[in-house]
Amino acid sequence: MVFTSWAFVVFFLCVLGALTLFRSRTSRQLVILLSSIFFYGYWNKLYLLLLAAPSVIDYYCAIFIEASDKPRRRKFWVVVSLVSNLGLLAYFKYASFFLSNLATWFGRDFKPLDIVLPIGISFYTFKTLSYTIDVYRRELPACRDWWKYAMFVTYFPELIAGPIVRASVFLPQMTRSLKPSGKRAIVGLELILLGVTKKLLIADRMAVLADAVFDHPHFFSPLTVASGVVAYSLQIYCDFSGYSDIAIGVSRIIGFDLPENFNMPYLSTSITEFWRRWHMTLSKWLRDYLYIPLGGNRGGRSRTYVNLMMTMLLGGLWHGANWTFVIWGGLHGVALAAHKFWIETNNGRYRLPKFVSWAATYVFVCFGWIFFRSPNFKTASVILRKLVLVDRTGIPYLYLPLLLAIPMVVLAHSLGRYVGSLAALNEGTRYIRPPRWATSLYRGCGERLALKPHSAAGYYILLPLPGFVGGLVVTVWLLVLYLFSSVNTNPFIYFQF
Amino acid sequence: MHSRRSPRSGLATAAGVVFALLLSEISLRPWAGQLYRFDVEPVSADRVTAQTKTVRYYAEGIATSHFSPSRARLTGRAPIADAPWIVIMGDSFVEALQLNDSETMGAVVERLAQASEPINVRQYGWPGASPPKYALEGADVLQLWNPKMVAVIANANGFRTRALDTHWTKAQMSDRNFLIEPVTPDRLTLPVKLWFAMRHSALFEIMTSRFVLDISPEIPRLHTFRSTAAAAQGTSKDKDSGILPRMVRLLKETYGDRLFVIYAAEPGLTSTQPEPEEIETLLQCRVQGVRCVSTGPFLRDALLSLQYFGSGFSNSAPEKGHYNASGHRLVGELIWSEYRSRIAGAAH
Repeated sequence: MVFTSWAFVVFFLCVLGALTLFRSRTSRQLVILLSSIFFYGYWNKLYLLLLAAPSVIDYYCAIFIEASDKPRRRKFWVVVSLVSNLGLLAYFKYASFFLSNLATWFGRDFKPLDIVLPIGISFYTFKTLSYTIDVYRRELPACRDWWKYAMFVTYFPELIAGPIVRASVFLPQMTRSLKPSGKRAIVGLELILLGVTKKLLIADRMAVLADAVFDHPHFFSPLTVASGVVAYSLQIYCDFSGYSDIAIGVSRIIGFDLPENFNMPYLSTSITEFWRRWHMTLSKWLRDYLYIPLGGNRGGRSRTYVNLMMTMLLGGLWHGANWTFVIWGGLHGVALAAHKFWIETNNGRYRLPKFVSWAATYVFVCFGWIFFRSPNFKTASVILRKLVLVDRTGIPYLYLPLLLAIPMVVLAHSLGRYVGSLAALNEGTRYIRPPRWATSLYRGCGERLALKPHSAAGYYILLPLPGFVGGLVVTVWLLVLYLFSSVNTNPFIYFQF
Repeated sequence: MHSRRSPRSGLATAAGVVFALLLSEISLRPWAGQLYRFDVEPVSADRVTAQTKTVRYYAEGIATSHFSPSRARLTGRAPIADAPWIVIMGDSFVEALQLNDSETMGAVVERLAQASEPINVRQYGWPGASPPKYALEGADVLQLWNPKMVAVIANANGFRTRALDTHWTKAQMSDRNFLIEPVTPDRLTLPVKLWFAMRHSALFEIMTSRFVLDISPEIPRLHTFRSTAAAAQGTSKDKDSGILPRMVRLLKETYGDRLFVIYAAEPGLTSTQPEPEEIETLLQCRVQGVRCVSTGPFLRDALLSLQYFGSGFSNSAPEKGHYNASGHRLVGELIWSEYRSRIAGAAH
C-alpha cells in the first residue's frame, strides 16, 4: 500500500475514524497495531510471519537480557537476537547474491534463488536490532507489554521505508493518549502535502528522464546523460524525503513524533556534512551500532579510516545485494576518510570557497548516484564514458520538467536556509520561537515553530499562513498539485531496500 | 495553548481561496477548449471556409492546434483551389494535439508536394477511434473531398477487441462484416455530460478533464471510459484473432483502391523486433490487396543509428506516447512517397 495511492487514503481515514471511536489509550494502541498488521499484510499475508518471528524473539531476548546480571548470558541473548535478525536479512536479501558470486568464483553456473525480498525488511531489522542492543547496553528498559512492543515493530507509517525509529524514541511516547487532535493534524497535513508534492510533482516527473537515461544510456547524448544524472539526484531526494515527510506527517496526526530524516542534503559543503543531512536516521544508526562498536576514532588515524570504510561499505550493501551498491558505499567511505584526513592535517589553514566546496560535494554525490542507480557496471561505464566525453554520440533530448524542478528545489532550499539562519539565532532552546513576522502563523494551530537549533526544516512555516495569503497559497498549491502531479506514480525507491 | 480564530480571519482566508480560484480561472483560460474534442459537427458539414477552433495542450508536448468545427486538424496552410485532396484519418496520432499545425503529417505532405504538384490534405483524428469509425465516415469523406488517396493511420489498438467499443462507435462482428453504430451524445458518460454543462469555466473544465482522463483510470471501479462491453468480450489473443482481417476488409470495402494503411508502430527504446499486430497487419493487407506500410522499421533504424526519437516530447519520456514532429515527418514522407508512386503508376 503506497502512501500516494487511493487505497492508503481510504485506509488512513479508517484508522483515524477508529482512533476517534475508541476512548482508551490501550484500545487506540491496539487499533494502531491491528492497522499496522493489516497494512503489512495487504502486501503479502505470508510475510506477516516473517515480521512476527524476529519480533517475538527480540521481545523475549530483551527480557532475558534485562533479567540477567551475568555478562555471558546477556551476551548470549543479544547474539541470539543478532543472529536471528541478521540471519533472516542475509537469507532474504543476500543469499542469492552471495551464492551467485561464489558460483562465479568457482566457475559454476548458478540459477538465482526464487526468493521475494520482503518489503521493508532492511528497515525493521535495523529497528529491532537497535532495541535489543540498547537493552543490552542498559540504555533502555525492556518492554514488558507485548502489544506495545509489537506496535513499535509494526508501526505502519515508518514500517516499510523508515525513518528508522529507535525504541528509545518510540516507546516513551506510548504514554500519550493518541486522541486525534486538530492541532497536530494541521502540522501533519502540511508535512503530508509537502511529501506528496515532492513525490508526485518532482520525483515521479524526474523519474521519466532518469529511468530512460539509466536504462538505455547509449541512446542519449552526453548532455542528456548528464541531465539524467541530475534528474536522478532530484528524484531520489524528493522520493525518499517525500516518503519520510508523509510518514512523519501521518505519524504526527496519529500522535507519535518520528525523527527527521533529511535536512536539505544538497546544501552540504562537504561529504561529512552530506551524511549529517542525508538519511539521518540511517547515518546515526550506522554510527551508533557499527562505527562506534568497530572502534570509531579511538584507535588512531588509520584505524578510523578503516572503520569509516567498513561502515560505508556495509551501509552500501544494506541498500541492496549488488556490487554497484558496495562501490557506492566504498566511494563515500573513501570520501569521508579523505575529508577527515584533510580536516585533521589542514587544521583550517586552507579553506576552499564555499561555492567550490558545495559544487565539489554535489558533483561527487551525483557521481556516486551513477553507481547507485545503474543496474550493473556496464551501464555505469557507458554513462561515465558519455560524461567524460569519450563517447560523444547519442540523441540530444531536452526534458523541460527538469528545468522547472531545479528552480523549485533551489527556491525551497533557499527558504529553508533562510529559516535555518533565523533558527540559529535562538540556539539553546529545544523548540525555538519563530521570528516575529511568523509568530502568528502557528497561533491558529497551537504549535510553536518546530525548529531545533541547526535543523532548518523550513517547510513548517509554509502552510499555516493566516488569512488571505494562507487561503491563496494553499489553494494554488493544491491546484498545481492536482493538475501537474504525475498520475502513474512509481513505488517509492526505498521500498526495494 | 488556546486560541480561537476570529471570524474576520476566516473571511480573509475564504477571500484568499476565492482570489486564488479567480486567478487560476484567468490563467487557465488559454488552455481550455479540450471539450471541443468531443463536441463536434458531423464530417458531412465540414467546410474549408469554416471558422477554426483553437486548442492549447500541455500534457504531452506544448502546442497550439487548430480544428475545423468538424474536427479536421488543420495544416496551417490555406487550401489551394482546384488542387487534389488527400485525406488522412486516425486516432489521437492524427489529432496530434502535441504538435503545432505546421508540424503535423498533413502539413509535411503539403510541403513535400509543393515542389511538384500542389495538393491539399484534410486530416481527421478522433482520440481512441478505430477502423469502424473510419468506415462510418467513409461515405461523407469520399463525397465531400473526393480524395485521390485516403491514408488510415492505425496502431495495435485499432486491431484489438477493444477497437469494437470506443466512445465514437460501437461495433458488433457479424459473419463477414461489422454492424457499426455511432455513439450519440445521449450515450456519453456522465462526466462527459458534466463537461458540456460546465464548459464556460476553464478551471472546471481542465480539472474535470484531468480527473476523467488521468486520475479516474487509477481509481478502481470509477473508470468512466472503460468499456464494459470490451471487458465482457475480453481482450485475450484468441478473441482478438479474426478481428484484424475483418478490419482491413472493412476499410478496403469503404475506400477501395484509394486506401493506404499506415501501421503506426511504437517500438519504444527496447523493442528490436516488429510487434505481432504489425506483422499481422502487413500480412493481411498483402492478402487483401491493400497498400500498406509500417513505420516500425524506420523508427527502429532511426533509433539504432542514433538519428532521432519518433515519439516523446520535451515534457514526456523519449520514445513513448504519441509521435513527435520527427515521427510525423516520417509518416508524412511515407504518405507522399506512396502518393507519388500512385501518380507515377497512373501516368504509365
